[in-house]
Amino acid sequence: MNSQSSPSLRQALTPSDNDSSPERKALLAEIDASCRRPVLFMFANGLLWLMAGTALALLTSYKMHSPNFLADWSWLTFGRVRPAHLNTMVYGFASQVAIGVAIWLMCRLGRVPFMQGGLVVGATIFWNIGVTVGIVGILAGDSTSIEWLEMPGYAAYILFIAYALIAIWAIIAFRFRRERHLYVSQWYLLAALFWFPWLYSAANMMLVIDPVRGTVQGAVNWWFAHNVLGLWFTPIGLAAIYYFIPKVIGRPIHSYFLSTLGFWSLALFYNWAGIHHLIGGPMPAWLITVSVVASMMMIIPVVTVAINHHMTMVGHFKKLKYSPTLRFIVFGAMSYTVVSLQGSSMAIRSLNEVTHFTHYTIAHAHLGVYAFFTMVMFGSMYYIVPRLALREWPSARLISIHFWTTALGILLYVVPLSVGGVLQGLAMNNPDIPFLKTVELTKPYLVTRTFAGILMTVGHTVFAVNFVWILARRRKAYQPPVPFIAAGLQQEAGAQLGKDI
Amino acid sequence: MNPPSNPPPAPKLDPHEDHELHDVMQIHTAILRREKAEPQEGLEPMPIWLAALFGALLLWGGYYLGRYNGGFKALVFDEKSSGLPIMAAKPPGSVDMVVLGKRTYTAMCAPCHQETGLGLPGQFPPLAGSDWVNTAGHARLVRIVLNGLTGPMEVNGQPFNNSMPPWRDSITDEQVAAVLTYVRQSWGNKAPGVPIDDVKVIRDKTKERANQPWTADLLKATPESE
Amino acid sequence: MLIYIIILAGSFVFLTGSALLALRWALRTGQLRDSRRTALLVFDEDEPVGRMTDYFPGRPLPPTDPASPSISK
Ligand code: HEC
Repeated sequence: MNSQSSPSLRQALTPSDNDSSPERKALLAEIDASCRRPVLFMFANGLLWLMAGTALALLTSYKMHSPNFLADWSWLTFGRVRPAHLNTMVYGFASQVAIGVAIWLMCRLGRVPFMQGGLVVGATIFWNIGVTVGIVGILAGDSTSIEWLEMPGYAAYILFIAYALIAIWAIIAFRFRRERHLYVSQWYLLAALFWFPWLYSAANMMLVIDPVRGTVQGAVNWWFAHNVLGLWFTPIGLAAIYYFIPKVIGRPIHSYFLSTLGFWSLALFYNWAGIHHLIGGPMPAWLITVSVVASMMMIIPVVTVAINHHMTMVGHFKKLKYSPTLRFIVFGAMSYTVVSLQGSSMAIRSLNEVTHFTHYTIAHAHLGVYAFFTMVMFGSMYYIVPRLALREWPSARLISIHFWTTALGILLYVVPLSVGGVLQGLAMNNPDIPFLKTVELTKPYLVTRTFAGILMTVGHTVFAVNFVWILARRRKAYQPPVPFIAAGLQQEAGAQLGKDI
Repeated sequence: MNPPSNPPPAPKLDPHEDHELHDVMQIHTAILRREKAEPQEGLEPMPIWLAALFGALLLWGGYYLGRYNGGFKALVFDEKSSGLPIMAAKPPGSVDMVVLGKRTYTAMCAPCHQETGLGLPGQFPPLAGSDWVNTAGHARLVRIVLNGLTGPMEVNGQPFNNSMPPWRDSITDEQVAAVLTYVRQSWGNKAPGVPIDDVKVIRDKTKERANQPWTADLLKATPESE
Repeated sequence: MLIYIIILAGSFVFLTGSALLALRWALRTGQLRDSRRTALLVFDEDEPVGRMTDYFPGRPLPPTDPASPSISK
């Protein structure tokens, strides 16, 4: 039996067999066709960076417990490999895939084809040149040593210009949308598309190009590093969740009111947070206090979003078995709740005194960027790519392997490392324990992390194989297999039934 | 509930038009009949407990901001201070000499004399039970710590010939007193403690030696208590 | 120093201003009203409410269960 696909995908691929209006169907096909080149190009590049970043991650993790490994070649010393890993993942993989997903969602929700796809492909090439220059710069020893902004100033310019050239078209797609009414995802996307350049340019200006002096640097640095997560990755991740959960299970979001509340409270509170990373540092007390309060206030959008997603899923959890997208997205949505509540708690002064400067923070960051954001992006790609490539994923088994290795991998990463982080923090706060002992104590947790990393590497490799496979496969005339048609009809009948009662 | 033999054509669904809503509502009504607790999608209001939670959070936020703002002054780093008398110098609290001594020992002496005070045979002499440490006077010990010690010597009958670095420039009088008190009263040692003032006097007295290490013979020549 | 104050004050006004403008626009164009319709925006007639739209390729489809709250899968 050759590939069997979902009814909606089948509809996208085959001439209409029901009476829905031809123009609308043509529109969907046109939108997908218009996104095909730019979005697939971004995904492909993003995956390349994901593989590179994964290799750097493994190297970094290994060096954490075996520091002599490859330590005599300056390009691969810890101090360079780690920021290289972070920047590949953030700017090469996550941001690039995020922009791809954002473009597709913008067009889908605005019911408008993407304009100037070719130009955007060009801008994406430019973006990737920027990332390459930046990473090579870091490895060559040109890092700015400012966390999350390690790329040297010259790479930052390239990235900024490339970003502007890409984002402008997403915003133009929004401007010329045919569906005037906005869905909550569009609010998030639009905000993120404006917030990112603001964050990136302000932080680069104040830290790299014309640095401010003294402790203000610390404040700006943490404002940026924290808000890149909260005002760039989070909104795009939430936009995807808000779209895909209802879309995949076929049921509207539980409460649209709550989603509006969630968006506006995020917009109101998030930007104030970040300075709580400097608790105990030489920062004016009020600045940190404001940040602590804002972090706690983030409970409002988080709980709102969590309730909304959960209530939408209630009664549909068995669908997780059947949909790859749903699996990744729901895993991501749950992680979002966990990581955000954890984040709020970490802003409390008395807890922060223990967890700060320990591996706990690293585990937290990965819970956010990976378990939440990356998993959501994986889920989105599983939905989007077949619709753009007009082919089904070649292997369901590879998808399963991808899910289980990454899901278990990130759990194995986060849970032990958090435990190790707390122990490390308690030890560091005890003046009777020499510093070296606090370092040695973390070693088992660091080794566990390397194993988790290997699991995740397997997942990423498998995903990359599936991705190359789906693109490389020769397109052949689509033949819906017989049993499948039967299933489809059965479903139509089911739908009919529901209406007729 | 069999599929109807002749299904009517599905009505056109157009999100812009009202009949679509009716259609959806019909579906929902159907669902509601089958399952009691199906919520009405899109319209759920905020649960009351959620509103209460948010209210509580806002209250807490206001309180916290009011309580720990350090007067919104740029130079107040301690959130517990009200920020009014900026930096009124607090009198330094009294230092716990036992803690200070142990900490200084771990940082400065333990690499050679070991955490156990037993030293390493042939290289670093023991402090535990040492006939140099368990003395009535402490003047020689202060000198050893300030200026170091080099050349052949005997501790409890065992010969050593190595050198110990001077600490004069990197240790305060308080730390010298604390660490020697700690050494003299740990691992079974039972000698009297070392007062800070005595360290001060000896530091002055031996100023001109700068960082010249002592030899055992030179020390033997100085009285135990001066 | 002055330049920083101007930049900070300027961006504060700009950001708050744009947020308020966005909110005003949303209220005026009725974006925040009619939440039922808005919640249905992700669906269209090809992929209507009640139809699941993503499956593992080549694996058995979920059993159709007319009593399921989602009408069909
Ligand atoms: C670099 C290693 C080293 C460090 C650090 C060191 N010592 Fe010593 N210490 C020695 C050596 C070696 C001798 C014996 C010198 C000789 O052979 O002449 C010695 C001798 C002594 C003696 C006299 C012999 C005895 O065992 O009673 C005392 C007392 C002493 N050290 C106390 C201290 C104290 C207190 C500190 C911490 C402030 C300290 N030492 C740090 C190496 C060290």
